[in-house]
Amino acid sequence: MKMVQKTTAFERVNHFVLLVSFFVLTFTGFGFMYSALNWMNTAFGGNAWASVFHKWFGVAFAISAAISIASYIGEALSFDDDDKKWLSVLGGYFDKSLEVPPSGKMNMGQKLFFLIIVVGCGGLISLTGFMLWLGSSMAFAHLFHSLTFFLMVVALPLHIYLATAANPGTFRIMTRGDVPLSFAKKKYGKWVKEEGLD
Amino acid sequence: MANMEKLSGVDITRKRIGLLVTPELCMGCRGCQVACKEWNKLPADRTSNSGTYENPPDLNANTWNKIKFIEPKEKKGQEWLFISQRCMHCGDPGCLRICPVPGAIGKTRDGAVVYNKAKCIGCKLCSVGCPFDIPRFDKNTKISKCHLCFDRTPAGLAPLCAKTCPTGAISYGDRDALIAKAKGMGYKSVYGENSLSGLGVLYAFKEAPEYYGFKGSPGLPGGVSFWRNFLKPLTAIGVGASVAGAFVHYLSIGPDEVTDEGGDA
Ligand code: HEM
Ligand code: SF4
Ligand code: SF4
Repeated sequence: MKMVQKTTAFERVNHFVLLVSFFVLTFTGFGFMYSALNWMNTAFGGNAWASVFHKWFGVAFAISAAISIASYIGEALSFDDDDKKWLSVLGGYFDKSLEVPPSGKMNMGQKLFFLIIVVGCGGLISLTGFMLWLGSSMAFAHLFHSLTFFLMVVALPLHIYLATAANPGTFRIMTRGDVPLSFAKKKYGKWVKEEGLD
Repeated sequence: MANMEKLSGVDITRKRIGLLVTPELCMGCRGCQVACKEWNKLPADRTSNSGTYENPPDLNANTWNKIKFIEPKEKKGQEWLFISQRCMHCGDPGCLRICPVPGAIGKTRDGAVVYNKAKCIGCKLCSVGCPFDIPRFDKNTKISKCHLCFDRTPAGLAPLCAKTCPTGAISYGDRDALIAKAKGMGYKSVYGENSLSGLGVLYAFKEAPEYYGFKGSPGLPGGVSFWRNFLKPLTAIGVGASVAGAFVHYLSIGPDEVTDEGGDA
């Protein structure tokens, strides 16, 4: 089976850093937000340690998100008519009989997830996180940290589902980086053509 | 912390105690400031003369109760107002609502809003939740504020400020009785009677609250009440809905399989 390489090792390591830091931040975040979930912070050594973890994994997250933004922003901001069509059929996710237009290296859903969740929310949650840490405009920071947290924890289960069970084979892009050519042609047809991979 | 029975609830209050502050009776001696420091072993502050007898200029980690001086110029001449400023021991305390650490801030059974520095992580969010800008932070950034002498009242002793006050400008007792007392003295409304589920520190104001530098109708800061009443439940529901939605999609519409030939499975 002919394989094509979709991600570099650097991209995959960075995605893993993003993933781990996001989970540490989400668990300690839930532990702080709901007293009923405060027991989760026990796993981090109690609330004082959870706070230390939350801050320093926040630094890791911010750096990793910045690297991710620098890597994908160009691709994510280039829309064409196929992207609009992709959106109008919602990627075919809700009706498999629909014709789904071909995608470049990222499909429209991935572009939107990236722009809204990683660039928008990732940026704002990091900024407000540092503001809370340093104690500047804390009322604003607390509100927007919580608001972006809401958007991210609602979006992430969908991202994980789409990257695993919903699209079998996709997860390998973030573990080994290569996918079968047939898979790439179907999911990222224009990218395969542009790069001359077939 | 013997009296901190349950730390996150507000419905466990048995019989609320409180303080009644009557600015008209205060002569600005600041005995209460000194008494508070003495009982709580708080050091004096080094300050400098800023052209007023008000001293120190603001509450701080070592000053939990201070007399605010307001010197309005009236037609009839100079007036001086002396108002005791401190934690209000809110019935619905924003500090407790926002604090991320269960047990760092709590409420005693008689309604004092107290704290445990050993649990406080120094995040300062309580100052975001407080409608009255009360919490201050010590050199380890742990919360410091008036705790209504919860280490005295269970033994039947009045808070030191009230005990010391020579004019009765600060009086201590059963909260309902204090409200009745203020009304009996001719004050039509008592500041704090109903706002924020009732304040534990009540003020008998002759003029509108604004005249004394107090908010007319205090409530939780807008962002904090949005967060508590809307965002918190919405986040919990949203995560559940998102996970459930993914499952339902998998079970109904199902995954997008790709065969080796590149077609749909
Ligand atoms: C268990 C958690 C996660 C899993 C299993 C997962 C899986 C994946 C996979 C397989 C891809 C490749 C998709 C493709 O190229 O077609 C991907 C991409 C990406 N992920 Fe994640 N991810 C997780 C968590 C996160 C988190 C926490 C973030 C950031 C908030 C994130 C941000 C991104 C970004 C920016 C991309 C590249 C753009 C895209 O393809 O959508 N991921 N993820
Ligand atoms: S500084 Fe302490 S008391 Fe204040 S919100 Fe943070 S943990 Fe709670
Ligand atoms: S006045 Fe501020 S610190 Fe005191 S109980 Fe109310 S919210 Fe908490």
